[in-house]
Amino acid sequence: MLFNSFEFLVFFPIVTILYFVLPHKFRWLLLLAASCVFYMFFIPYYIVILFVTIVIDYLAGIWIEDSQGKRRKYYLWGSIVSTCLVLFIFKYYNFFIGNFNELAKLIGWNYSLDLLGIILPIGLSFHTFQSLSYVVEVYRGHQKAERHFGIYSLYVMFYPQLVAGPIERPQNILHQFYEKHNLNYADVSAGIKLMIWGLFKKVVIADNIAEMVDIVFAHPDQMSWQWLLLGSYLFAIQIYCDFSGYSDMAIGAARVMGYRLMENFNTPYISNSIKEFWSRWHISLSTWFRDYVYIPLGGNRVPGARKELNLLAVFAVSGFWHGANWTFVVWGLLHGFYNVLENMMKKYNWFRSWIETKVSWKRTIGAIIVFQFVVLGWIFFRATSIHDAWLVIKGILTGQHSSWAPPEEIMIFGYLSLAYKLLLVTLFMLMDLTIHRFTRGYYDHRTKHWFRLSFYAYLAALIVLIGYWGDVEFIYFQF
Amino acid sequence: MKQVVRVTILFVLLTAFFYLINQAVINKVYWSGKRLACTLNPQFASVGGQDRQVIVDWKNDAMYDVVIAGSSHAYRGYDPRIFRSYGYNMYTIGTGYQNTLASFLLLKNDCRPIKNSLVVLDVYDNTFSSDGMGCFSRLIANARCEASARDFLMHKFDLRLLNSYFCYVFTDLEREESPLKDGYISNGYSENQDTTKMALDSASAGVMEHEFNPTYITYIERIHKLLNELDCQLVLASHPMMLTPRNRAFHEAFRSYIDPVIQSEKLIYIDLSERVDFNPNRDFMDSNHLNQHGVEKYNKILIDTLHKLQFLPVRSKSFM
Repeated sequence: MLFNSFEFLVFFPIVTILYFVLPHKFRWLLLLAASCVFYMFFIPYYIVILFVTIVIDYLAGIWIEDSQGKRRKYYLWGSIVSTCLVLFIFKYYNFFIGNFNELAKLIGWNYSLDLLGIILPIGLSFHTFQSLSYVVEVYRGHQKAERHFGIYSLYVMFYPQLVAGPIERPQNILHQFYEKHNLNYADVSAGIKLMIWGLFKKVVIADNIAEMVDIVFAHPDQMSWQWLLLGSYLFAIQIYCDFSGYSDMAIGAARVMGYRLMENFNTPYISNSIKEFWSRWHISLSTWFRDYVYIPLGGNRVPGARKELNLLAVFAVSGFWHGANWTFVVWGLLHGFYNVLENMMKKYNWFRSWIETKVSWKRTIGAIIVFQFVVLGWIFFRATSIHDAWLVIKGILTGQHSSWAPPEEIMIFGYLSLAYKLLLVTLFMLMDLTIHRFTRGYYDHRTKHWFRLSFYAYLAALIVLIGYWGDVEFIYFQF
Repeated sequence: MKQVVRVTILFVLLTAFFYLINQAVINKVYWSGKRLACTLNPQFASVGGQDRQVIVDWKNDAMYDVVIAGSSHAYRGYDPRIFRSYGYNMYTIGTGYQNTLASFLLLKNDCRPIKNSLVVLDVYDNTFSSDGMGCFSRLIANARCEASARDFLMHKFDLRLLNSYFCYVFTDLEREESPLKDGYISNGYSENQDTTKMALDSASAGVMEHEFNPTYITYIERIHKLLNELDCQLVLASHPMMLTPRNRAFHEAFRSYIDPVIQSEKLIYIDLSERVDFNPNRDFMDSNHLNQHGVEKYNKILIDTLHKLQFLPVRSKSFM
């Protein structure tokens, strides 16, 4: 079930009303059943895969807690390997076999392995990471093993964040399933505001520009450099609105029922440095890699070169987590390289004072520069192959087919439609920070209630009116 | 609790208010001959074109001997002039991507009164697999009356169709935005003289699995029931198709899907889709549609078949 679907418009109020009507002791059961229904809207029998990972990590958590010495480590690694094995089979098997076959062909070895004809279960990477964070936290002693199988299942399956995060930590969410949440105006209001803003970003901004981006990236060799550049910028905005829109809706849907999920996005495109960008973009994933990969590798405690190498490795793995394609690995490596470069540049005082500045105009210039580097990365993320990404970059750098005239496929919609979409995107970028804060209640004490109510009602009306409706999945669902 | 309910009601009312105000504005303001609505959201259907003409040309006082329903196959594959030459008054209510649900609602609401007519429902795989959202949207925006537009919306509730419904309410239907299809003749029919150079094996790539919507099958039964009440005869027909591997595969899947219903409802199905005497480069405008040459051939065969089945009485025979 998609958040931007009519089914969810029916599903969400029913589940929420039932949640508050039911006695507290049955609520976990309702949420678990609702989460199963939500998941089974995609490919129903894939719930078995989810069930298998749930059982593995549930038992591993208990065994780790109940055992001593080396056994704890064995259980931890047993759990990590078996959970990752599921991820490997469904997400990476074909990638490795495909590469193996290519390599075999290259060296003239007449041997090829069959690919698996399977579809990636939706949100597999997300709930795998959430399960892993549980067993690691139990192993570290930061979290008690969850004995209630239903509650543990709900931790993995909680429907608002099941398919695209935020990737939660057990310390933040597990205890909330035991707490009694009463119907609370402040929570309902805060949740609905986030859901409306998230949906607006998805169906009004992201889905409205998706078609233009698709056209540009479908035939990069035929596009003018102006449109390749514009298409790349638009994709940066599309992916941000798509993913942060989903996160806002997930956080909002949970908040209505009184659950607090972690923030996943904090206006990343105002970042003045790459490090700052990663503290604002997909926060739940970047902190996951920091806590469970980077720090165990030595973190900031290891000597310079090793630290930078670790950083590169972590970003490469992060890229690979996104998808089984070399484009994602390059995207990850590119960001790893940016980080390494930034660390090296910090030796110079002018650079350090620049990225730490609080002066608005300096921060604005810094944000514009950082945005260019981020967009370069997005080209690899969006392109279907390294070759295509290279065509886009080459086209921009060589001034390919110079022309401001829109491609024919985009002109079908007319100049006015194009101008409207670009205006919409520009307005969004200019107002993102203000509205982000507004939706999080920063200005509640300075604005009247009727104004806020009218603002969200107007947004809701616009969502219905100019939103792009149809089966448009969220980009991050594929991961 | 009270506060939540009070604010929720207020919120819903305010949203509805803003929605209606905006709908009124964007459907009343025109830019380069198009409503602002169509610029702001490409999912808004334009007013005019084939869908509007089909509704406008239908005459309530005319007695149609034959009514054709279906998708583009219906408005491109049945020529009223050929039927007229045999002495029959024929009308095709075909519109792009029309599925059986849309045909049912058109027959029920917009194309009345029909009595003692022969209704030919042109069917093929797409009739049962397309979601028909575009078709519904256009039919609502161009509906004959408000009740008809509302009925379409009630049968397939979707936010896109809600937008189309208010587009119908606020738009000036006399001010057409979409040009009529090239070659529009009359009685819903559009002629096409093009030929295709497509080879029979060229469209073999990308054979996909068809997902038939079971709801649309039930509408065959409902059309049958509706026509029985009106003393009309229902005949299903498929016009010849280009015999590409893809088309053949789709048709085979389609037959296995539809045959049980035909048997249980005891329907007549004239399936001419696999006729081998239609030339790919002379009788088709593309892999899916007949051109005028093919239409003339097909209509003659169909009328002869209907004569043999005694669904049409033999009248004047002055075929071109």
